[in-house]
Amino acid sequence: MMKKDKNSEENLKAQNINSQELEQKIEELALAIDKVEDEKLLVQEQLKRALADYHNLLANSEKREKLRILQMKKSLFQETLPSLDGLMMAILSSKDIVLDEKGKAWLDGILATVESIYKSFASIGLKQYIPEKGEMFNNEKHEAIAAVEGSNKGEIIDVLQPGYFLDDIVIRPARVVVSK
Amino acid sequence: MSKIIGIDLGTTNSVMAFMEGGKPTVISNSQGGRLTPSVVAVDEKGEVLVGTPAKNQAVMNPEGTIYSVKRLIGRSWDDPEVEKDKKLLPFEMRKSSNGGIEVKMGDKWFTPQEVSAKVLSKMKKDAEDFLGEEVKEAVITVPAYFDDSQRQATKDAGKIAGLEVKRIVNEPTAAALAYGVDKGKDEKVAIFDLGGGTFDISILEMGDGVFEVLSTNGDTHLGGDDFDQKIIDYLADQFKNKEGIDLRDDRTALQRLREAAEKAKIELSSSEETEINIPYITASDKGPKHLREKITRSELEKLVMELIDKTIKPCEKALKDAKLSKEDIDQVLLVGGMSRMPAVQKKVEDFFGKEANKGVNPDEVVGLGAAIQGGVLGGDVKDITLLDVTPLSLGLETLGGVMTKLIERNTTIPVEKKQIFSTAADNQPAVEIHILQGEREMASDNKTLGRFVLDGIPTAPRGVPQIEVSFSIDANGILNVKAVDLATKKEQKITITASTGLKDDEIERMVEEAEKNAEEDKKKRSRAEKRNNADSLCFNVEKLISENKDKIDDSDKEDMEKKSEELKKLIEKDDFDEEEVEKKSDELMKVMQEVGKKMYEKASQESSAKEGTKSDEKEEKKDEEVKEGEVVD
Repeated sequence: MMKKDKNSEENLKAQNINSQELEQKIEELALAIDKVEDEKLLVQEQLKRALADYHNLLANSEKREKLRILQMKKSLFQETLPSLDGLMMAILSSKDIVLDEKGKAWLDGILATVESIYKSFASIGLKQYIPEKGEMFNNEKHEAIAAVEGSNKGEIIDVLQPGYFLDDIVIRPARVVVSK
Repeated sequence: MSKIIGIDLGTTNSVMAFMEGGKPTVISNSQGGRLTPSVVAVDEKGEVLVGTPAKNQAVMNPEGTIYSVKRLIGRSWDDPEVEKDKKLLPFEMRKSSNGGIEVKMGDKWFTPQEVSAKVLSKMKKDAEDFLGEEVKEAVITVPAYFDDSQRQATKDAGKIAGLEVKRIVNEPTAAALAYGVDKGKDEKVAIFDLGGGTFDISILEMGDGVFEVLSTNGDTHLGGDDFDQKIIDYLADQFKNKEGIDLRDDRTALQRLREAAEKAKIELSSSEETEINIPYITASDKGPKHLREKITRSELEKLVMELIDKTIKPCEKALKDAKLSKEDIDQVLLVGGMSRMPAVQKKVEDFFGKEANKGVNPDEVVGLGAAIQGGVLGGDVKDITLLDVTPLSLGLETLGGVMTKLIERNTTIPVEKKQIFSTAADNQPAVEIHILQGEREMASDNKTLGRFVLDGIPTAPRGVPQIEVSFSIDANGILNVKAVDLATKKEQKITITASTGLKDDEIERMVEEAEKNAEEDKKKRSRAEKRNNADSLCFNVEKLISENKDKIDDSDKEDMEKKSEELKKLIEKDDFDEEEVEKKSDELMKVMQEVGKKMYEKASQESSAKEGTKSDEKEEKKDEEVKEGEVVD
């Protein structure tokens, strides 16, 4: 009996220890669950943001793609425009030169070539724009390089460089002299 | 949740960016541009222009075009820096009623905050177009040397533009963020920022997530524009020596020279030699002249060395102020477009004795950093905790005109500091709290941020009353000061909106005005467009008639002329009726289309009569294009 009693006491003790250990275990597990829950919330939050970014990206991708192409074309043309300006000045300066028949034919050929260059550029969206003298200044399409005394305020007096549109966007305003 | 965008509100240009997929991305405007010129103007008709359109009309409206307003924002009229700028800037300025500055655009006066707000409004709108959602919150960067009133003024500009400014961040701090500088490491970083018009050098100390500005220096009038001018002058001088013609006298030539000089400067950053080639740049009686000039990198460097050398003294001073030697600097970051130039990089690297970091686009790095900060605040970025610091010490005036500091410079913000003060005389009924900012010992040498009086102190011998003064700075660096008499619990407080700053109700009014003006501007623009369209329609009609006199029936001609005259008369008046103009324009357009149709029909009848001939239309078009070319002369 005594032995039995002793046994049961020991059992009880063991049980106590066990339950203490268990409680500790449970506490540890609860903490671990909390940690996992926190991590889950964080991951969920990140997932939500990533999904939102992804959806926005999808929704905007067409627009962005267009913008990217526009930017590429824009930088390509901006690189080319000074050469076009040179060509233009070359043609303009020909009027100060007395040309014989051969020379005139040669100039015609150059003019035709220039025309075909502009045509090719036009097919990819580049359009040259030369304001008329007397036209009113427009701050979207024109850039005033100088303002001089004139009769009609805001009127274009001289055009220094043509402007260029790319798909209806001004990539270079026409450089003009304006009356003030 | 809407995005918090990052804005680099620059002296010459502004950039904005946002966080996408964990990375900062620059926001482009609808025209594909990544930079917005920080230029605002009011034109003849009273319309407000911002960015490129404002820049385009600057020379014809110098008094009404405001640029470099960042040089003025939050400063007082008597500021020595402002004295300098008053001589350089072409627009009209005056002292405002609170000692600040106002600039004139059109016939109205504006505070620098309102002008900056117009740039910010445009950027807000462009960002909304780009993102496809409303943008309400932003992080804006300012130079590290900006004091409290300049920061507050920048914040007010955001508010007027309808943006909640979540944080004002130092530009070098933003640059360091964009470069991904490891905040965990204890490092000292030099940020070398050579932009379009200004040069800044900042020494930052990093550690424990804190970016501490140890010192700043610079030259407020040194930048890329000075470099371009040197190249232009060199090329023009060379040309003058050879040809005897000064290209600076010829506007077209000068414009082409300016573009070529800038291009050459960029090309010489990556190659050793470039040829500047401007055919037909001018003409003499001997025929056309071309500019063909080879320029090597070393020649360019010789030209601009004097400018590059100017950056060194500020670097030395910044190190001295930070009490550091060159060897103490762990990293050097390059910011600003001019830092692309190899000679600039070499100078910086030679000076600091180490290779500089140059991985991020120097024009965009500050804007990208601001976006990262926006990401941190919005929860998009997790692994950074960024703390900012106060750039200058804050305190109050005490007995003998001494400044007693409550918050030392470079204290991490937000922060709150309290101290007990007392009276200086027996039975003193009130104390004046004179709030100061600066590093000098005497109150009079520092900047006054505000004053207030706490009265009703019970009579007592000097030194007995206990007045608790607390200074608190919020995350944006905005200061609140409170004084409490501990005996009576009576208190007085003030929020420093800076001496030249704006009061809340003033900001409210400006926000309202900005909103109201937006509506009015829209209306004005629509009217202007209608008038322009009508005007160009009349012009086209006249052109059509004069070029095709014999191809148009007399009755049609008369009809068009009559309608065009009527329309012209209508739009002559400032208060024209929009609907009527639209109606008349439509009518005229219809007649014009009719006439055009008739002309084509006639032409095709004629061409079918003459078999085998080429299309007239094509011939005509060619003629026309050549004619257009002549107009340029």
